[in-house]
Amino acid sequence: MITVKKILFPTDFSPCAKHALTYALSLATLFKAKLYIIHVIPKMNIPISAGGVMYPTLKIYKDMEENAKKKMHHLIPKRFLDQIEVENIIVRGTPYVEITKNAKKYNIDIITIATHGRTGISHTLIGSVAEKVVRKAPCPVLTIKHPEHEFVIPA
Amino acid sequence: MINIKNILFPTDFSNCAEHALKYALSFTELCNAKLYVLHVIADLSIPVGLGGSVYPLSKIYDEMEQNAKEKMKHVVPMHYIDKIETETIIVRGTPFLEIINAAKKYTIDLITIATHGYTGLSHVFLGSTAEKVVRMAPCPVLTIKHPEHEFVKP
Repeated sequence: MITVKKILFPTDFSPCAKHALTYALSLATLFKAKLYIIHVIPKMNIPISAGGVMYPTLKIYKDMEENAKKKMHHLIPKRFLDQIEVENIIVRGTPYVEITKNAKKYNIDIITIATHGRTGISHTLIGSVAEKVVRKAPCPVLTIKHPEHEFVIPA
Repeated sequence: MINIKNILFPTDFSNCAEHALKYALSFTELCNAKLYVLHVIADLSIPVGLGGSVYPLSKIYDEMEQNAKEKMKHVVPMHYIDKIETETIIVRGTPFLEIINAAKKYTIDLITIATHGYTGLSHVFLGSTAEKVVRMAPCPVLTIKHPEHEFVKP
């Protein structure tokens, strides 16, 4: 019998991630595991001359972080909060790198991730972040497709 | 709350698959689900002129099927057989296609698959079958790495 004590759920607050969250919550309840929710604020490439002076990137990051904190706060339905332990993580960096890094840091047993987030184009079969996480994660990864993204084998 | 009633576990009887089986069994037990164990006998590409007359292809397939049937008997450990419902499936074809077909046919809720089977090279990060299954499966897929295959960031 395997033990699953820690589950990592990366989210970009997209509808796909929301769908994947139902799996993360169910697994956390089923295994009595702790749920780590991670949101990665991607690094921006803004030339200093473009936004640096008028609107410092530092402030943009702060806003994004504030925004993320607010969204994180409403992510978990109330009825689950009594049942499972939840920890929120907000970091800056490259999403797949931060996801795998934090999986190691927190000794995660399973990552549950949506195959399409914000950057995923609906016609590609799997999102680039999910694909990299599957390849590079130190633990098993549960990939969840949004029901609309079903693959049809050409006749 | 999600409902997982049917779990599919594709196996090529490799060590990696054996490791992934632990997850399949745990999920099956916990979710009170039924476990479908699938083995795909890969299509052989032997030119007819080469082995056709001396050793017929159909005989090779028959032997592979017999072999697979024997191995299938021992996949699920004894102490699980009483606890969970299992069904074994042996088919011929292209592994990833047959896995997806089976997932649809048996209305599978979750596929648990090892990232490296027999054809996986230990130095690539993800086996080709697992990768295709992740991309094309109609349901969530749990990919399980063998502990030896951990990715080390250069």
